[in-house]
Parts: sequence; structure tokens; C-alpha cells
Amino acid sequence: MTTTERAGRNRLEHAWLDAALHLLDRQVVDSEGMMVCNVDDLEVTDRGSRELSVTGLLVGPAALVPRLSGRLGGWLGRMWLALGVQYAGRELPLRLGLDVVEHVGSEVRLRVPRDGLLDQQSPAAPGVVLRRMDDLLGMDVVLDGKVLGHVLDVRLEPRRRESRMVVRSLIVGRGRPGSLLGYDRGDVNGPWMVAAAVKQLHRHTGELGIDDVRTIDWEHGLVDATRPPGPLDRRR
Amino acid sequence: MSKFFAVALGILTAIGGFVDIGDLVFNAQTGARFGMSLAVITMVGVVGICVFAEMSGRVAACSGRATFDLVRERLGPRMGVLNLFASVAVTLMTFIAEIGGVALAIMLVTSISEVLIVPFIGILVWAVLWRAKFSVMENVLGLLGLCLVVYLVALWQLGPSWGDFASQAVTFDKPGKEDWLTYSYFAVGLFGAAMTPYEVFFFSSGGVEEKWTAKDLGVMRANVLIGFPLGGLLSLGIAGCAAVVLQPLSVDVAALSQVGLPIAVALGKVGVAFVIVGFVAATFGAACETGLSAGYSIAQFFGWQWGKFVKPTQAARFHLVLILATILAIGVLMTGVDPILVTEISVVFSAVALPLTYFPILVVANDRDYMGEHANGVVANTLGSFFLVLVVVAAVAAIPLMVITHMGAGV
Amino acid sequence: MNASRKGYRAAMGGRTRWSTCAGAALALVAGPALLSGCGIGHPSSVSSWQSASDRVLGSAISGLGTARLAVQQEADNRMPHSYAVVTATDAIDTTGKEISGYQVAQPPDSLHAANAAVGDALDQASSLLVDVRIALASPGLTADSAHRLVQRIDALRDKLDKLDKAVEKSPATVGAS
Repeated sequence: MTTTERAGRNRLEHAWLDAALHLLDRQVVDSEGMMVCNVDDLEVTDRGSRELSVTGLLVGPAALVPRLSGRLGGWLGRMWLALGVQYAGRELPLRLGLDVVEHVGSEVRLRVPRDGLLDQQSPAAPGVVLRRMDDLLGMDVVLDGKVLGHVLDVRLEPRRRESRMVVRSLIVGRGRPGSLLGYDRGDVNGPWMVAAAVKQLHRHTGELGIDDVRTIDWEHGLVDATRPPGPLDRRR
Repeated sequence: MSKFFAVALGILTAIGGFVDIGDLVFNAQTGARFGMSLAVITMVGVVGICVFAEMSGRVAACSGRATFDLVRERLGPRMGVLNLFASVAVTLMTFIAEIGGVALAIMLVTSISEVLIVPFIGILVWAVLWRAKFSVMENVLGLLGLCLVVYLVALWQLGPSWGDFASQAVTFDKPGKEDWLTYSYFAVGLFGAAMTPYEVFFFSSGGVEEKWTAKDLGVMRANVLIGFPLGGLLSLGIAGCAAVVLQPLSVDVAALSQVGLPIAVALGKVGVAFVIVGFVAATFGAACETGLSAGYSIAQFFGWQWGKFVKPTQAARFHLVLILATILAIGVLMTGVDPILVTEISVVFSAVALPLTYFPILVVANDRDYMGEHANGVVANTLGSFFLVLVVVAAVAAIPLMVITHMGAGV
Repeated sequence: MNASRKGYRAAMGGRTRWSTCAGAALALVAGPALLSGCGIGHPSSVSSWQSASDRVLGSAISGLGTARLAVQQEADNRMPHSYAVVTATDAIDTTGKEISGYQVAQPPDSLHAANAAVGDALDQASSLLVDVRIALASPGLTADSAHRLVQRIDALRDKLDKLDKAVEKSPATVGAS
């Protein structure tokens, strides 16, 4: 099935795209149109000094199960580990490097066929920590001890030649349902009722540039900000 | 094949494939107990499925993606997995009911025992899902299902008072001895039977199977907007026949044999022959659809390759799900459970699962990323929102009503 | 797996153990419900006995009506023979299940006689349905035997109907005479 007619725009050629809205949970299709997997999580490379970038797609139960737990406190994740103690690298997901990603649109299209493509994530290079996008999403954003909201999404700047997407800003808001519907990003037309309701719920959503982030505490799920988030950039 | 022939075939297939075991049972039950006073509910349900089938077909044609694919994307993995559990549970229940329905229909005319028939039918369904071409499966079973038109012929032959029918329908003229709670239970049931959740997943995935593009929108709309309402007419025919023959005798429908009795009264043995072929085709077709639907939902959630448009070895996990579903269905039916009971429960739980299905479709059909210029207009959004409210009301009311009215037996 | 995100409040010391709260609430609700005994020997109220009797009598009337149709269509040769037999068998099955469900419930103390009268009528309905199936299956109906069956069915349906109305209006009088 040639999907070039359905290509639509390639978000990798845009100035920015949103991780949760445009990348996570998308179907991955290979160069021949065969379905590969779903984007279960994103690999975030942390080089310290606040430089975060997305460097790969994470796939498989080790990536998906932690995202299902939510407030159950990672119970499902611990269950997954307990069911396979005898396996090495049980907590390591499968990984697709961004170098094989050709097109990000209604689906994620690869430039290679799918045979033997998914491989376990390799350990990090020295001085670099590998993290997951799901840990960044939902973190509390704090300014001078006061909780401003949660990280609803992460705005990425694609750099195709470097095969990575640099974290540019965090979308911060009160984290209620509808954030993935794209209505708060001005992305979608919709049934007037639903769009109006969601816009009302998300009127406090703002954008916090990565330069305005003092630290990210991955252990406790806190983002320490230096100033309040600015208005949301809704330009396409 | 000229365009006209293709459109006609599509419409006829849609008519014949519309009715499944839930429609057969619930429409006969409501006709026998309430006459035509619930006819408007059936019609509303038919309009509802038309609205959402058109939307899901449009999503498939414009984006090349099927509906459940997009549920996880739009609602996130947590809501997506809950939705998956609920949808697959209800779809598997319906799958079991349909295979049971095929067995019941065949047992009407042969004396082979259930223990032998059920595994045979299960394996036959699986073989069709494994080997038969998608369009051949749809067309053959859909056209054979047209035999159920015999209900409209029988109704004509029975010569009821049409004026009475019309006034009962329009004034919601509930018979005195039934109460409004039981009436509401059957209204919810008719809604769930007409707007089956598996239908939209199947329809959109089927669109991808048949490689629809934006050029096929016209044909798809003809199938949905002409075929489905005519199929709904068959549902009304079943209710009408039951109202004329069964209601005066206070007969309550609890077995498939009773659903076909009005045909015998009106048309004799020839009519009964047609209706049994119709029963088998309708339930077998629906069994194929629900089986595929369960496979589609699971594969689309996890991102596995799915579909009959690729070789089975290229979609190994999808076909494994189909095998497991068939084994499960055969196992459950061999315990001797009454397929009519499974049907009634699956229809009520379908009503409960409706909002989970329809809300994501409504959202995705508005997304210009997928739909381009074919995103929902004002009409589709208005109708969609209206039906969304209705299905939420039905979903909330379904289980309490089922418990209070003892599954329609009476308060 | 990386450390769970505990969030700001947790980092500051507090923690909601909502899972244990939910468990306690469930036990509080479910416990009394389970202990309160909808046990088999517990007599039901008069109104629930009336509803149950109404339902089971309706089911018997419905089964007899189905049998009547099967007999007539078979006699007029408008139905395949096996279909008619299956119809009669299904009627026995369905009515039998309803009757069993009714019989295991304990009637109110004041209505034992009424319950016995309803039980008798249901027994007659069951055996008539079996008679219909036997007559239909082999060696088959004659015009005469069909006519007699239909008469028996109509008479019994009438009786059940009157019983149903009496149960609804004045249950104490049922079975008193």
C-alpha cells in the first residue's frame, strides 16, 4: 500500500512538534508499508546542563507497561519485572534509532524494511543518562515552592542531520483530560461542544522554555522553574 | 465490473449483513411484547449506526488507518487499554453468541447434537477467516443474508393494520401490562443491538482491507446511507411479524425457533426454508465480523500487522488472536450455555461500551491531520454529538435496568 | 526500572494511600451485603412473591402459546417436521427453567396454599408441553389429535390466566377453596 498519497506534511521538516501529541502512541510503518509496532515511549538522552534530546523510539512491554500504571505507583511495572526475573535486561525496551525514521505524520514511517529491526536498547555512553519521555510527562512544575501545574507535553525541535530532536520547551497546564485531543494546541477542529469544553478546561495552559528550567528532579518528578510559563505558541 | 454493479452489490451486501443474532432476538422480543411501540427506537438506532459507520469509513478512506488504531493515539495508552479490554470483552461475547446462533439455526432442521455442531462451525468460521478472500466472504454471506427479506414478505402476507402499527410507533403506545422500566430496558437493548460497537471497528478496518481511498467515498456512503437503513427495515419487519403472530398469544421470545414461527404462519415451508438460510448466513457473517473485529482491535492497539490483505505469515500475531478467540468460543459454547442468554447479555454490555467506541471516532473524524478536506462538517458533528449524548444515557442506564427488570422479565 | 514519580507532595512527606482506602470502603459495603443472607430458606415478601408468580405464570402461558402455534402449523403442514419438534422442545426447556427458578424460592409464610396452587398449575403446564412434544414427534399428528391438543392448551391457558389475575389482586384467596 503506497502511502505517499496520504503522506500529508512531514513534521520532521517543521520548526517544532509535540512529543505526546504527534509522536507517542503512533503506528510505525516500514518502507514497504508493513506495520512494525507502536511508539510505546521515547528515549530521552540527558547530557546534563539541561540539554535534553529525543534520540530514539522505545517499543515493547518494557516501555509500554510503565505507562499503564499511572497512579498505581508503578505496580504493573514491578509485576512485569517480577514475572521475568530470570531474564537479563528485562527492564530494557526495544529501540528504534531516529536515523531510520523518514516521515512523521499520521503515522511514523521508516526508511528501511522491518525484518530484524527491533533490538534491545544499548547501555548509555559514559557521561550520558538515558531516560524516558513518560517520566518527564506529568511531572509537577514548581516555582518558588508553589505547584504551577504539570508537564502536559514536550515541544521538540527536529534536527534530522543529527538524528535527534532537542527539547525546546515544556507545555505546562492543569493536566485534565483532553490534552491529547489536541484542542488545547489549536490543532483540531471539532464538535463545537467538545472543543469549547476542552478549551475552557485548558485555558491555563502555557509554554515554559527549557532555558527557564532550573533543574529537573527525575527521582521525585519535579521541574523547578525560574519564571512562570508564557503563552502557548500555537503557530503551525 | 461496472461502477453501478459494484454499488448495487455493496448495497445488497450491506442490507443482508446488517442483521445479526442480537437484532433477531431483540426485535422479535420487542415485537412480541410491545408491538410496534419501540419502532422509533429501532429507527433512531439505525440512523445512529449510519452516522458513525460513515464517519469511520471516511476515516479509513482518507487516512488509511482504522479506528482502533487511532483510539490509543488520541486517548493515550491507559484509556486505550481500558477501552481495549471493554471492547474486546464485549466483542468476544458477541462472537460466542453468533457462533451459538449458527448452531441454533442449523439445529432447527437437523438433529445433529450441539456437541458436534459447535466445534464444526467454530472451525469453519476460523477457516473462512484464515483463507477466504475478504470481499468474497463479505459478498457471499451478505447476499445469502438477503433471504431475511422474507420477513417483509411475510409481514405483507399477514396483512396487519398498518394504521395501528403507525399509531403505536408514533405514540410510543406501550401495552398496559408492561411498565416503563421494562420498556426502557428494551429500548436500551434495541439501541445496543442496532449500534453494535464491533460494527464500526470492522467497517473501518474493512475499508483498509479493501484499500479504500478518497475516491471510494461515494460508494461507501451509498452502502451506508442506503444499505443500512434498508437493513434496519428488516429489523422492523422482524418486530412486525412478531407483533402480528406472537403478541396476541402472549408468547415471549426466548428461543430462535420462536423467531421463525411467524414465517411459518405466513408463508409455510418455503418461507421457513428461506428464513433458516437467512439465519445461518446472518449469524455466520456476523461471527466472521466479530472474530475479525476482536483481532483488529488487539493488533491495532499494539501496533502489530493485521488484516487479511497480507499473507497470514506476515500477520502471524493477528491470526493467532483469531485462533485463540475461536477456541475460547467453542469452549464456552460446549459448556451448554444458552446462546440466547449470551446474546442478551452481550447486547446489554454492547450498550454499555458504546461511548468508548463512538467518542474517539467523533474526535478523529474532525482531525484535519488525518482527514484533510474531508473532516466532519456541521451536519456530521451535530448528528454525532446528539448520538453521543444518547449513547452515554443508554450506557449509564443499561446495567441498572438489566438488574431491576430481571433482564426484561418484568419488575 | 527507574524510580516511580512520587510528585511534589510525596517529596514533601505526605502520601495518600488511596488503594488501602478503596479496599476498606469495598469491605464495608460488600460485607453486610454478603452477610445479610439472600439465603435459600428465607421467606420472600408478598409483593416479590406476586412478581415472581406473575413472571412464571406468564412464562407458562407463553410456552403453551408457542406449543399451540407449533401444533397448528404442523397440522397444516406449514412447517418442517423437525422445526416443529425443536419448537416444542425449546418451549419445554424454557418453561422448565423458569419453573425451577420459581420453585427454589421460599414463599411468604401466609401464602403456602397459594404457592401450592400455582405450583400445581405449573405442573399441569409442564406435562401438557411434554404431551405436545410427544404427539408431534412420533408417529405424528392427525387432524383429530391436533384439534384436541389445541383445546387442552386453550383451556389450560385460560386457567393460568385467571390464576395470574387472582395472584395479582388477592393472593390470599388463591388456593383457599
